[in-house]
This record gives sequence, structure tokens and C-alpha cells, in this order.
Amino acid sequence: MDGASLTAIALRQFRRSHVGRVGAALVATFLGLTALAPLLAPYDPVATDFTTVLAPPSWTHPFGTDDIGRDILSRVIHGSRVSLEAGLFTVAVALVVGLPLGLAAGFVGGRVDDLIMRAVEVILSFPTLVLALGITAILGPKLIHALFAIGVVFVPHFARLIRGQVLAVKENDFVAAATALGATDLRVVVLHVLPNCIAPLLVQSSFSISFAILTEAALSFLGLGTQPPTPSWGIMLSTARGYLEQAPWLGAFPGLAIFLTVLGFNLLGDGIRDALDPRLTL
Amino acid sequence: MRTPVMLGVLAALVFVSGPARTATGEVRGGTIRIGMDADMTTMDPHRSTAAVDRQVYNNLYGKLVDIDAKFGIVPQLAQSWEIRNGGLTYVFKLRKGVKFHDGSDFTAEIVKWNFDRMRDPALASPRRSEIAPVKEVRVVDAATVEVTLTAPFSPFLSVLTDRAGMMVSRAAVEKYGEDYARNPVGTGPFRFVEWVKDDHLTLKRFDGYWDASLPHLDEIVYRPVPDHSVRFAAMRTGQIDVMHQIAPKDVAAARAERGLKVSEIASLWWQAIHLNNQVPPFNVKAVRQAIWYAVDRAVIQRVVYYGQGAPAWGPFPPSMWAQDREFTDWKRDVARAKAKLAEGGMPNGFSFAVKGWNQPTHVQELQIVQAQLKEIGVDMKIELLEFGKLLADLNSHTFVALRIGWSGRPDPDGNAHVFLHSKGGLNRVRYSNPKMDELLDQARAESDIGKRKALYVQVTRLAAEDAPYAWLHHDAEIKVWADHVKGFEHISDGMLRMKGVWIETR
Repeated sequence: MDGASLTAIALRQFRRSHVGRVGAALVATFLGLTALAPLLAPYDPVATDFTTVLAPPSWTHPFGTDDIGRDILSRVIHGSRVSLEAGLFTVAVALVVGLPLGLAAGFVGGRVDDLIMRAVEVILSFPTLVLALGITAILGPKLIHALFAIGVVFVPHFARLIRGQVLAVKENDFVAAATALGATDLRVVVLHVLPNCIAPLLVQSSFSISFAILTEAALSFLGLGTQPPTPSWGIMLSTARGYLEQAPWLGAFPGLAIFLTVLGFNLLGDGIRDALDPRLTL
Repeated sequence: MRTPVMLGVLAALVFVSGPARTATGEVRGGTIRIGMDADMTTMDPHRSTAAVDRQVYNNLYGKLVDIDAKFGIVPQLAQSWEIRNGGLTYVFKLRKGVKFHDGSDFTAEIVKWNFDRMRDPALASPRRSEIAPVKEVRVVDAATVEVTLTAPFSPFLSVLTDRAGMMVSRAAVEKYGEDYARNPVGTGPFRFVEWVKDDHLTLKRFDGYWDASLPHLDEIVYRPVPDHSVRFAAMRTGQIDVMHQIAPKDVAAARAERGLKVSEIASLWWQAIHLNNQVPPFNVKAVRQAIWYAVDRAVIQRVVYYGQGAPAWGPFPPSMWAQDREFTDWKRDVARAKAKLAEGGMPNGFSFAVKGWNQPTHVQELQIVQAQLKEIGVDMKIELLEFGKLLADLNSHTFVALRIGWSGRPDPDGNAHVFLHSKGGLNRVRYSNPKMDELLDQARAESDIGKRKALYVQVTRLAAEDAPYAWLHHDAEIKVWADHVKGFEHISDGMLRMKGVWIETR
């Protein structure tokens, strides 16, 4: 082993992983689309043209038009923004709530641990989509509510992951040393325990983003997420369902977009996991 | 040794049970499977509020009178009737020897009991308001009933062609009580067998039907298949024989499909955006008028309904004699819409939310309206709900704007009075104009069709001027059935009357 830093080793590991590279490329494309959507999209994604309804793919409309004459390519490009929002917002909710809960449960232990973990298990015992459906049904059909619902669904996964990590990390000598030197609990948790939990968190976040994109699509498909005319891949699929025979391009392109983005984040997650796994380090 | 005997028996059976044809060529026997857009809600016609229930009732229950394809009133349980005292008294001569499915007799006494049941406040029957003008029901003799009204009410017979005219068995209601809704007994051509919620409802031929030559079928099975695409696929693959409600986009495919028949006639429906006349911004007439002129009904008809049906500028569809066919002030006029906005004090537009049913055709239509309103600077947000929630919000006036349709009634009164009269039972937009009330009351009291038509023309024009609803479309009434289904008569009310239907066996 040379004298390179751990980060450098991880990066090198990551570059060696084909899977990770493909994932990173897909995610980069996706991020590029969201950032440059207004520049890349040939049309306004909500502009209707009632004279070209359900037009098949052509030079003027490469992905065709939908049931009220909107350009599907432009809607797929702009739809990436809803998906990115879905991924980032939900993971943020899950982190903001799940991280402190997991840290507290793992580090304090005892009754606090029992209380938090039982609550988490209650949430976990609901089927994911049903819980998200229930929350949006109560709060009302708005994108932000759907995203919040998905975030809540993720909380248990993050809380449990962190707790497990903390339980392992806090037995290390350096934690005992820090405590012996008089560091407060908060200082120990934030400066010594948390940094050692980052790797699995990154992997979990990556997988969660892809799952959030899928769930947002599912909720929008059911009419509980994004509301029309905002372009969302889920809503586009929902509309497409009625035209599978007549106009298959309505569903093909948003479907492909969801597939590639979810694949991208999953592969990226795999790549990060491999890169950070000490057992695989040469 | 036994085989020849068995073959002989089989041959004899085939000979005896082979398709029996009537003198006019109909075949007796067979099961018909009908794909419905929703499951039934109750089998008690005096408590039903869902349009889908009526489809079953028309085969399960006999009613005093029925309508024909030209909206003429024809006899059913009442063989004849007389209208006396300037429209205040109706005398019905009942068909004799009619039996309920449970064997009890259908008599004048039973008719009176049925009316009393509907009028009993304790039952809270939705029929109560439909027959509100009824003052008294008197039994003259076993086969004669006299109904007295408080005021002349020309839609009365037409009202009796629907659930208010359906006669339920007193013996069964007394036997089952609250459970009657799941154990219905009528006098119709088919009797109730079973109802497995969200799966199927089965009726069987009633052998004691008063017209001994009917019905031809042995059995009817109703299957709820709410998804349009799935229902159409079931039709194409032969899993159902008749399809109720087809998505406009699928009609062309149905016409092209071998083995399917498509019948398209004018319906009684209207579709509209209900504007809450009591809350801002639609408490201002000019603002409602701005919406009226901003929507493009022609585009909606072409894009959403594939050219089927007709644009709507009032509550009366083209199938009705009451429609004002000279009226032209429904065409899109963006300049006028903007002027109306300015007149209403909102020259720069405004923003509002419309509630709608999360159903593909409705979503598509709302998005088109959304785009059209955007052109006059009005930002319409769409809030999609499931149907039950939408109805609840409508009934509790919890909306600024709400898009929903009305399946219609054969008499124009049933398409207008409840929605436009200030005391109308479905006037959820809380629209009130004394002049409108007067016109509607006059029209229902008038028996001369020419005079009624003149009144309904005034109703249409005043409704367009006040614009309490933004009417959008009159649906086409479309039914799809398999080639082997014969004898179905398609009437604008869209009811699947199965007594004359038979199945051609090959």
C-alpha cells in the first residue's frame, strides 16, 4: 500500500469499477438535463397544440406529442427536474429526521433506543407505498406532500442503518479515548462517530434516490403526486396507459427515462459501496 | 351394451334441448355478460343515487311506464292512463295478473304502498324530491290507482320511467327490512340471484314474467371493470358480450374490430364546470362570463371526444326537443373574455383551483381548459380527486370550481330544474335568479310542448347570460356489443334493457 489518502484510494477504486462508471455517467447525464432543461428542451413543456395531438415521433417532435399536443421530448427533459427534486428532497427529509434518531438510539441506548426503535418498527411494518398513499391522501394531492410522504417512509431505513453503525463504531478505542479526554457526548458523536458512518450513508442515499424517483412516479401515476400540467414521468406514464396501442411513444420515452435514471443511481451506489469497502481494497 | 342406449338418450337430449327458435326467429337461452364501469351500490331503487344501479333495475324491476326511442311514454305495469283536472290527476289502469319474483301479487294496493314508501321521510329516499308534487295516492279498485298532484307537473310520467316508477315487493321489504337492498324482489323479466361485491351480479330469467314470450335469455352477469382500457380489452377478447361506457379514443378501434358492433346515438348527458356563485371570484357574473367565452368547446369536442357528441351551451342535449338550436353565443371569443374580466374588476386575470375526477378523459379535458384560460391570463390549478371525494365536496359546496357531469333525464325538466332553480336539489353552485325560477316553474307546469320549448329557450339564454355553469359537452351515447348479441334497442337514456335481447348460436 502506498501513502495515498483514504479518499484517493476510494476514488481509485471507484474508477476501476465499470459498474460505478456507467452509473456515474447516467447520473451525470440526468443532472445535466435538470440543470439545462430550459436550454435543451425544444418547446415549452406545457404549451399545447391542438392541431398536432398524438403525433408520432418526427423531426419536429423527436419523441412525438401527447394527448393534448405537447412535445414529449420537452416534457421528458423537464420531467427530470421533478424526479431530481423527488430524490433530493426525500433523502433530505429522511436524513434530517432519521440521522439524529439513529445517532441517539445507537449512542444513548437503553430506553431511548427502545422507544425510537419500536416507533421505527411501527413505520417499517407498513408497506412502503401504502404508507405514502395514506400520508398523501390525508395531506392532499400535492407534489410536496408526496415527497414528504416518501421521505417519512425512508426515515426508518436511515435510522436503523445509522444505529447499527453507531453501535459498532462506539466500541472502538478512539471513542473511549475521546471520552476519557473529557469530550462531551455531542462532540464525540459529531466528530468521532458520525464521520465513520458516512460510507454506508452515501450508499443508502444513492439507492434511496432511485427508490424515491420510482415512488414519486408511482404516486403521480395514481394521481397523488405531481398535478397537471407539470411534467412528471409518472404522470406521463399514467396518461400513456390509455394509449399503449394507439400511441406507444407516450409511455416509451418517460418509461425509458425512469429506467435509465434509476439504473444510474443504483449502479452509482454499487460503485461507491465497492470503492469504500475495506475488504476489497488492494 | 350400454353405449348405444346412452347415445340414444344423448341424441334425444340434443334434439329436445337444441336452440329453440321463436316464430320471429329469436333464440331462447344463454348467458350474457355485461362489462360495467363501476360496481352497483344498492339494489333498492328507492334509495339508489348511482347511475350504474339503474342498469340492473331496468331488468329486475317493472315500472309503471317506460320510454321508447323517441322519448314517447309507453305502457309497462300501467296498461293505460288518463290525465284529468288540467294535469292534476293521473289515473293508472294496471296490468292484471302480474306477479313479483317472490310470488306475491302486484296490485293497486302495492302501488300506493310504494309511493308511500318513497314519500316517507324516515326512508330519506332520493325519490322523494322527484315525486314532490304528489299530494295523494288513492286505490280506486284492485287494478286502478289515482294520483293527485298539488300542481300540474308535466314531467310526471317521465319521472315514473326511472326509479320512482319502479315497484318493489312489499312482502320482501317487510321480510328483509334493511337487508332488502341485497335481496331485491321486483316484477321485471329477470330475478335476482347473487351479488358478489366488486366481482359480479347475476340475474336469472323470471319464468313467471307477465309477458310469457319474454325474456329470451336465461341469465345476465354484470361485471364491474372500472378501467376503460381493461374493459375494452375484455370486450375484444370475448370475456364480455356487451360493454357499457367506452373511452372516446377507443371508439374507432371498436368500429374496426371484427365481431363487434358499435351503436352511437345522442345521449341525455351534459358535462360542465360548476362555478360556485357564492364565493369569489365567481360571485361576480362578468367573471363567470369570462370563463364562458374563454373555453373552446369545439376543440374539446375534437380532441377529447374525437368528434363524438356535441358542444354544450346549456343543460339540454341535441337529443331533446328543448334544445335551443339557434343559439350561437357559445363560441370562443378571447377578446370578449378579456373584456369581461376587466368588467369584473380583474383585468390581469386571477388564479383558482378546479376539482376534478382523476379519470383520463376528465384530466385531458381539464388540461385543455387550463391552457385556454391561460390565454386570458387566468391561472387554473387542477386538483384531481377520487369520485367519492369529488361528490362529497360537491354536495357540501366545498369548491370554487368543480368539473362533473349529469347523466340526464328524458324530460328536460330533469336536466335543468334541479340545477338552475334556487331551490333545486342539485344546485350546489348556489345560483339564484328569480326570473330563472319563474321560467322553470312555468315550464314544468305547462303541458303544451310548443309553449314549453319557448320557455326552455329562454332558460337556455338566461343560463348562458348568468353562466352559473360553464357547460362544455354533451356526450354521445355509445354501446358496444358482440355480433352474436341480437335484439338490443338503443335508447338515449343508455339503459341496457335486456328483455328482448337474445344470443345467436352458431
